[in-house]
Amino acid sequence: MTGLILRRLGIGLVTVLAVSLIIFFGTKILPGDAAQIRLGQEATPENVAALREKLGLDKPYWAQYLIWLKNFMTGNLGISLASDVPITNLIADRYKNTVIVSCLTALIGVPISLMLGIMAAMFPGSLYDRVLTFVSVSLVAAPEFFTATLLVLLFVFALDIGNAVVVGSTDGKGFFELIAHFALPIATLSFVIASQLIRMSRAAVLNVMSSPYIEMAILKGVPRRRIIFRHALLNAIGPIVNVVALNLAYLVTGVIVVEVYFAYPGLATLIVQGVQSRDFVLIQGLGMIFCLTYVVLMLIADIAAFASNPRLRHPK
Amino acid sequence: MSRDNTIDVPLGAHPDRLGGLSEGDKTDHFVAPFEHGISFDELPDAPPKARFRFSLTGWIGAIIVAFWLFIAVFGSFIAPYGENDLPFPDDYSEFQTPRAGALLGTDVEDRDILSRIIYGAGRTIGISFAATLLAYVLGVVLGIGAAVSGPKVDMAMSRINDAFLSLPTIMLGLVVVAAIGSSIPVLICTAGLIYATVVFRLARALGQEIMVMDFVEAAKARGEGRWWIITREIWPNAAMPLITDFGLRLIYVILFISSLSFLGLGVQPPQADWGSMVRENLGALQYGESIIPVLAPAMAIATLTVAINLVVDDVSAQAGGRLSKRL
Amino acid sequence: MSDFKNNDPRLTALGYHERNHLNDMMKRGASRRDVMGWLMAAGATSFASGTLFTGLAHAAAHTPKRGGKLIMAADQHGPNDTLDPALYTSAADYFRGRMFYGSLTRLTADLGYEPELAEEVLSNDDATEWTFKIRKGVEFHNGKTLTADDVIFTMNRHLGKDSISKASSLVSMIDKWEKVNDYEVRAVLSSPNADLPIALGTFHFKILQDGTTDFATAVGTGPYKVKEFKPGVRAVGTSFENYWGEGGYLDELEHYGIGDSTARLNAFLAGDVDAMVNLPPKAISQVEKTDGKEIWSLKAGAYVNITPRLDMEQSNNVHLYKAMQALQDRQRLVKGVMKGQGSLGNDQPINAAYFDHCPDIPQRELDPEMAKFHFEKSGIGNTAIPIVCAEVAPGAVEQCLFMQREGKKIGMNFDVKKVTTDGYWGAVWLKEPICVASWNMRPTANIMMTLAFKGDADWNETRWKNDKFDQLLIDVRGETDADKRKAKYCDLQTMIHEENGMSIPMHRNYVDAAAAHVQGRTEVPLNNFGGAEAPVTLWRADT
Repeated sequence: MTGLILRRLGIGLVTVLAVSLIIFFGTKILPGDAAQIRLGQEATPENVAALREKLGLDKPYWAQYLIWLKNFMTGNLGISLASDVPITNLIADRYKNTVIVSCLTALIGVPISLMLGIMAAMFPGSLYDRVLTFVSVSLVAAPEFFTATLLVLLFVFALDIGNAVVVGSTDGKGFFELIAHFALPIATLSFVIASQLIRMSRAAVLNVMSSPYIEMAILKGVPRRRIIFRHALLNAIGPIVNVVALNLAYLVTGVIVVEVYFAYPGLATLIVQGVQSRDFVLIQGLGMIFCLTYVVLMLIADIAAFASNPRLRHPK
Repeated sequence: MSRDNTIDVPLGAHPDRLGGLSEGDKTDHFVAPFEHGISFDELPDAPPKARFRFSLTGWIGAIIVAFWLFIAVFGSFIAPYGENDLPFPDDYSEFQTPRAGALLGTDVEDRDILSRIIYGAGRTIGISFAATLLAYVLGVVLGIGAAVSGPKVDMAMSRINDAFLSLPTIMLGLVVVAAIGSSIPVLICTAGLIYATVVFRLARALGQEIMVMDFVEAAKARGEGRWWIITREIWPNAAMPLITDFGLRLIYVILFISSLSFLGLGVQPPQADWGSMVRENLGALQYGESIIPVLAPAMAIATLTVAINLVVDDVSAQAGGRLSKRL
Repeated sequence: MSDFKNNDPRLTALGYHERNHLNDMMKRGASRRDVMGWLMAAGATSFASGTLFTGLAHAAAHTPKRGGKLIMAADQHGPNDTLDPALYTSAADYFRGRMFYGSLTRLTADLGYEPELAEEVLSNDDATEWTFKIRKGVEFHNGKTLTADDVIFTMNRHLGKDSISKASSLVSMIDKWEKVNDYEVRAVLSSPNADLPIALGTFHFKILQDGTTDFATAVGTGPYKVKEFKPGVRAVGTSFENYWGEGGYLDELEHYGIGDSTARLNAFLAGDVDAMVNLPPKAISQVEKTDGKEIWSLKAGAYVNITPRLDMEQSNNVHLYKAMQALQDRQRLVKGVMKGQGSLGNDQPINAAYFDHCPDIPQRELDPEMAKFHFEKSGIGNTAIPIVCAEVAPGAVEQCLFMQREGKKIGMNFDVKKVTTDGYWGAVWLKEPICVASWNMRPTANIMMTLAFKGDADWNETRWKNDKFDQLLIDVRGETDADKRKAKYCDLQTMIHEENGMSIPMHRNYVDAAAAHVQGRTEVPLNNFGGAEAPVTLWRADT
């Protein structure tokens, strides 16, 4: 099993390397010169040339790439082109916000969705199953900002609970205070991930239910609840963990709309600002952080899958 | 050898494009139905018959989809006004309630909502369909290509694909669209390329699965060429899961484009598309006389996507009869 | 004004102790009868006592209370938010500047000035030499005392060709700054400028400490000191205990950016923020209906505009911009978008809110015939004309969409691209061939035109260069004859109206909203939040 994990780790590293190439050379292709952007209106040809040299932009691309990669590995993400401060300063606080929101969403939204999905799998074809399927299908279709608006109207204006935007600092807040602080973003994101989690967990359980050993158990007359909880669920853990990990990755990286809507400073809004101000250094740094987050989460999912399914440890 | 299976296919993935599993050649997290020998009724030796019998929900879905397709194609002949025209040029009040001359009322810029929904249908469906099609053409060709190629080519292609997959969709979209400038062709290409990565994984996994099936082995043993195997054995068996996935992918592309619109990078005003219509009329919920301006485009998106889902569910259920149905 | 106006002329009859006694009575909430009885006993007439009581009661009810926190929601913000006053570009910067810094003079609601860090401002007869006597005992946040060196250092940052200052054109007539002594500085001008003290009261001339190079934080003389500053997110100030003047009543003042107007309105109505800038005019009636929420609107000469760069391909086409000007649906912008909170623009920046407004220039109206004439002459044909816009102010996007609609009717193909406001000023403005902007009002017509229309101004948006205009702009600063002054300003405005190329379809009022407990709102019509002068006087009524 260690060997397998090491192999996954290797694949993860290769992925990160490939991503670093894509990001670095991708941003090089985009129009705009970093030195020019950083100088803005003060840019004269001499100024630009001097800054290019200082930033190492006069070196060949591959050399720039190696320096950039080395800096990245030592935790130096460079200086923002738009604001002249180290990228790490811009990111630090925002990363915290993003992580808090994703973790809280995962803690609240994921168990509820999984419960709903598994219950649907227990009674396939029942009214409950049909309603839930229909609701989750409709949820897939709702744009995030629409869900967010409905939630704001319902909770903030009709029921007077929670905040329409997230203002104030998270410093010194306890667990429940944090939930209250981010209540509506968490609720919106829970709806966003719920539809898929419900469908996937339902499908994973049902899929296991169709395997011969379950069929055998059914024929033997084992009660359905016992089949699901003792046999089916255990075998469905692998795929479910996988979906959960994918959703977590999404929560860290894909929540731009929700962040903009609730105006809390997370990583995603930083991308929007970086893109607008053509801050390539910022985009590169964020891209790498997202990629690392994704790879680590996938690794965890794999390990969980190996741990839950002995068969996977001995691939043919 | 991989056995990524297909059960996640009709259920599709996240708004964030994931086709299920994270890495191309990982062993399955899902229990492959083939292993247990129960799935030959799902993947018959012969290409599946193309006839389906819709259930009631399937029919409802199909009718709604057909309705929107009709509007999308013939919209410009039906719409009472141009998409940027004012039904009441001398009236300066927005968000009017439905009335004669504007059957669904007016929007934030005093334009006719009905006309904009109708024009928006063509644009929303057109863009997402074109982008999804592009994603499929690219993804399927490369994916099945990887599956039938040698392990080295396969490995390289999968790693590159994984790298793209590990970047968040919306970020990729933002950077590319913002750098090049938003226009409909740019939107189509960007969404198409981004979602091609998912389709690639799917197609490659399906291709590999089928490559080790007995009938393919048999064909190889008979000395059939690679092309023959692709067209006669792999494609017919991979087509059904891919087609069901197509519908879902379409939904995610619609959402992707409307997210870009929210950030100001999607379809550009004053052109109407449903996602940006919801966005530009959000104020109606707050201070409008009528909430139709925001409800109407949201309902349009919802009816279309739910209808596609109903059809897809029906098709995938018909395609694979499982014990679960009988349980 | 911490308490009732101790220097009220009607109180001169009273002695010092009597005044204090009166003050105490008001603070205890004495009744009208009590106060009037006491005043009559103290020798005032009954009429004087009556009016005096009303005035005093008003002052007592509006006596700022200390303590509490306010959150003010801005709109545009981004990674290039800065604490360096010379680099300010946005309303958010200006507001923040007022929190943390002070300036030599401060602007008033009638667009004059009053001394602030300068106790006294003197000039020679022809306004070519200005002396500023610096207030003694003013402390920076780090405890250092303000002296002439700090002022000289600050002012020199705005001088010279290489100055990074965005407002260097306002002081380009200054040859040098001289230190007279530790508490007196003198500006020597190359050409007369009677408005210099007003210019120095605007947003960029906030006084820094001598030798400041690091702008990660702000060490100023303002009523609040930096507790937190994150570009593109928020600025939080805490009350500065040694602030020299009256003001800075809040324990904490937070300035928070919410770019999206729907989200900002939600936040305001839900009470998450106490005030917001740029209320969408369509939501005015909604806010008026809500208890405890008020409109904070100022009539002003602010405007939105569409600027073609005259030094770039396509946008340099004279007939293109003439067609664009004729296609502006000005009525719809004022009546439909602004709901009357604005006035028709006439493609020049000086409207009736300015002293030097020229009423004689005929008003341009939507004129498809004229537009068609110029469009045909332009030879652009069916080629797309890209225009980048963002919701930088109410009407900024709509002006483009309306023009596009009218243009389509005569076959013009405007390609409007809408981008987000976050980072707009850094990334789009002054860079794209045709884009939109939103301008604040400036205290005088001369300052406005010097900042944005003079040939060598950083912010000369269309890159229009007319030597005659530039010269006249400088000449008029020394013009003392009222009629000639008026004629010269009319010429200047006519030149912009005819040649600059910019479309200015609408002047807008500043329409903000504040909760009723937000008191001490200023009304200087130069920016949102009362001219961005409010940080000093804001206080919270319900603490």
